[in-house]
Amino acid sequence: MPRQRHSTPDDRQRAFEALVLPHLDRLLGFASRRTATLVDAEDAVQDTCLRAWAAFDELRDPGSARAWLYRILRSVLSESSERLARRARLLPITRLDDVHESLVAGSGESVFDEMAHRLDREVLQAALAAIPEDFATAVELHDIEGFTYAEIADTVGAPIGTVMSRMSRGRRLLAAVIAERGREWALGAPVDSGIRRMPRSS
Amino acid sequence: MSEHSQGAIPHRLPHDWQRESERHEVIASLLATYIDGELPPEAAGQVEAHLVACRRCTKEVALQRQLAASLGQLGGPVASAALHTRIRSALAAAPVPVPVVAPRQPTGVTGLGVRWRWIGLAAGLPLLWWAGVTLREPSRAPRPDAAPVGSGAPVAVGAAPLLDSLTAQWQALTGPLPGRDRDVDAVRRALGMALVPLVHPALDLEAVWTTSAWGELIGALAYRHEGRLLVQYAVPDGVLRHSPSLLGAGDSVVAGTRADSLRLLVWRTPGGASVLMGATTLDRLRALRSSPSQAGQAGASRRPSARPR
Ligand SMILES: [Zn+2]
Repeated sequence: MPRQRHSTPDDRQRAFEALVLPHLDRLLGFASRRTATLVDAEDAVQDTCLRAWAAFDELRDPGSARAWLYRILRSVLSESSERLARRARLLPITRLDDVHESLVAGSGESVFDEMAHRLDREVLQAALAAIPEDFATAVELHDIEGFTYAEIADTVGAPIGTVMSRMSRGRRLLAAVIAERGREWALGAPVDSGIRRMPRSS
Repeated sequence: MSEHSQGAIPHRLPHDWQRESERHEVIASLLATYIDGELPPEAAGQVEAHLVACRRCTKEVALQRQLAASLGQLGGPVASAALHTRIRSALAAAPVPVPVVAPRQPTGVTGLGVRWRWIGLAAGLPLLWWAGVTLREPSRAPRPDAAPVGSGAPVAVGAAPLLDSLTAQWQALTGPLPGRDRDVDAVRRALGMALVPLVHPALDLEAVWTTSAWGELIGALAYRHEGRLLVQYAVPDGVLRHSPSLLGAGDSVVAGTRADSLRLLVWRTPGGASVLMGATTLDRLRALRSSPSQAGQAGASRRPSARPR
């Protein structure tokens, strides 16, 4: 695929905006799950756009713009981690494995039924923040952003086999976190006991 | 569970497993791939055959489907009109990029350690900077319009990757200036630091744009001075960190020379530093910078004139 060629700077900016701006909401959503405030997320998205603009001529295939943008955003987010919130307290993985095991091996169906009405926005976001970043990223890119496995592999720079296992592991960990924390939440404890909440835009 | 080491999705699963538990383990690890429709038909058929008999995997499938569906409905923030505006004006202020020679990293230091090593240097070695790494400009009263280019005592600025980068950017400025007619305010907004254009009767602001180094934005203001081009780069602290020798200079004005005839002046500003460079004399640069009309100009904004170069 040839490089993008634009005869004038205005053409270039128009082409760039047409390709990038439609992804702004999604990029902001991904960023906001990783920053302390919505303002930090907006800054990260703006930085992403400016870097993408600087590198626009290197984008060979407009069809891969989305993966390219998330790649840049992830890089922006990782570099500015000192001004971003640390990811919420991570639950011990071995503990989560046990919880997951009890979910699928248990005799009753009741855990699922209980979970069904708990899967609201706040619960899901808190749970995403409680599992390791690599797993959360794979699951979010697929289930929220609609990426294929190949696109995820391209975005995170990992082989597709790694994406497969991150998806599998990520969903299991998520289910376990929700089940584990669900007991606290069901008792009326605030969702945010050390877990970052989604900043609300006014 | 370790991550799959193979780089591809299996087309079919082996037939010869003796033990159902082994089969279960392998299939359980492929359930997400199956649910997401990423498994080839033959392998998917084998998973489905297993599901008929395995209650645990059936529960797992139901659980993952439920999670995936819920995540798919998770809303998110909507980019505000203000953010759209901010990004558009930042883009408008950014130049159509010119290829720039990447600054070299110091040898023997790579990766994550670099920044911390440099910060350590910045904290520990300012004296060395003054004493040896750099020959400081002799302090004397400014003599405006004094020495011609190339005369006077040359002043070397030592290892400063930022100055290497800016010099490369300066050298790439051939042809029309980027960002002509761009708004100082737009660049200031994009930059997020103080950006005060120099004001001097002998300076015409010609163009304003943003460029970058180490992934961070740098503001650039181009002036015409007696037929020559001068550029003032506004460098935020984040970029300055890459040149500890400049950080180590504190509030002092650093003067130096690059590429034979290029002279530059560096001074700290709120949130960063300004680097003024041009093919002129250091005395001239100093005089332009310290013009009395600079007093009270903080926040001054001027549209550059659109005169041909
Ligand atoms: Zn099974």
